[in-house]
Amino acid sequence: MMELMLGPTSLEVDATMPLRVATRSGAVTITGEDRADVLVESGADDVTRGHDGIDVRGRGGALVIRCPMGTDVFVGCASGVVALHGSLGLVRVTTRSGRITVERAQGVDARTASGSITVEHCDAACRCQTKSGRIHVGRAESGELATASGSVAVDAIGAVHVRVGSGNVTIGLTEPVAVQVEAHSGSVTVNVPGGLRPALDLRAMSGQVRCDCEPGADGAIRVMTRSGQISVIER
Amino acid sequence: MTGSRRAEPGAIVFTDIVGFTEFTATQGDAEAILLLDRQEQLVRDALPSGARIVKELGDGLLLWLPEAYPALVAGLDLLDRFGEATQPTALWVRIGMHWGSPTPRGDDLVGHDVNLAARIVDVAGPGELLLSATVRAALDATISADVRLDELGPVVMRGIPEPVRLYRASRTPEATA
Repeated sequence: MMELMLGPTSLEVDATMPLRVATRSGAVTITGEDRADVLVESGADDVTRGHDGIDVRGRGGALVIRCPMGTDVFVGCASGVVALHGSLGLVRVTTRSGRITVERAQGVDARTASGSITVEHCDAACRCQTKSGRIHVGRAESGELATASGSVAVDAIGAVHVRVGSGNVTIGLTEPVAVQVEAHSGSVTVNVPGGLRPALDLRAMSGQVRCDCEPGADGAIRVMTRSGQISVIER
Repeated sequence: MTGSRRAEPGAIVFTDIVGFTEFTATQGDAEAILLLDRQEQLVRDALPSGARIVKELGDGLLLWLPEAYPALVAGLDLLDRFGEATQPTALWVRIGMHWGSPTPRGDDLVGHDVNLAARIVDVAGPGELLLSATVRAALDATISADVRLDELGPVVMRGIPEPVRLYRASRTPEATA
């Protein structure tokens, strides 16, 4: 049986109307830009306006969608790269296997079983989970990051809680905040600005602890590992 | 016709200890068994009246709870207690919850709703409780201001034909203060 694909479909929306996208396989690309409609360019076999948002369904192939800046976007797919460009509102992405990239969002929840997650800029809370893949956050107000086996790298973040099974963690701080890292195995490195004096609670059950900072009350860094080195480094 | 009789609607809950395999490999079988015993005791302490542990599944449990809101509160309590009980390096449990009418098979529960609940826990991260839209609907009139539900949107799960809308449950900052 031949699958019927919709041609380009445009729906007028207001910025408060969320966009929900579900597809079995294939890449999903969504761009938040200066426009007043949701334009489904390709890859959809069903587009509907529900009582609580726009629903887009695809079964395979690349889904390409454009929407107003600030739109809340929910994406669920089985496999395939999910790339969210431009400026979006709350972003929620769940995929079984596939890379997730987010350029800019007001808030992020991204989870993939096997694939990396990259969030360039998150204005508020950034939650990322992957079973086996790397997590990279450029800038976020706060974060909850978890990976079973994979590294975590954060360039600049506020309060953050990181949970890692096995994998290295690198966190960059720009101001006094609360940092909590729990790791079963893997090294943990926290880079702090020169002169910062955070409260420190660094515990490695088997592994070395290195700390350049004098303890104080400029935020708090709490790191616990079962096996792995802990380094708190003054930049 | 199979002649099977479906149970009354209720909350079908799966728990899973994150990192259990690695914990067992590094800490040994004896510690792992102690951990499982601790999980089971914490679950028994958290379960409300009328609820039961249906069965053990390696490092997880299948639970049945007759009411939605007590099930949610019990799940959140379990997340808190498990983290506290495994300090200083916390281990994490994760929970998946679905509202449905499974089919009893002896003391066991089987059927699509059970399979769906099992898939939901696969999506949950360490220390998380995820629930389906059917739980959300069953909660509607009873949910308190202490609990927050954040939509995750449609989630495509292996073996489940249609995407399922999931929510992440957590206590509000005021409730945890």
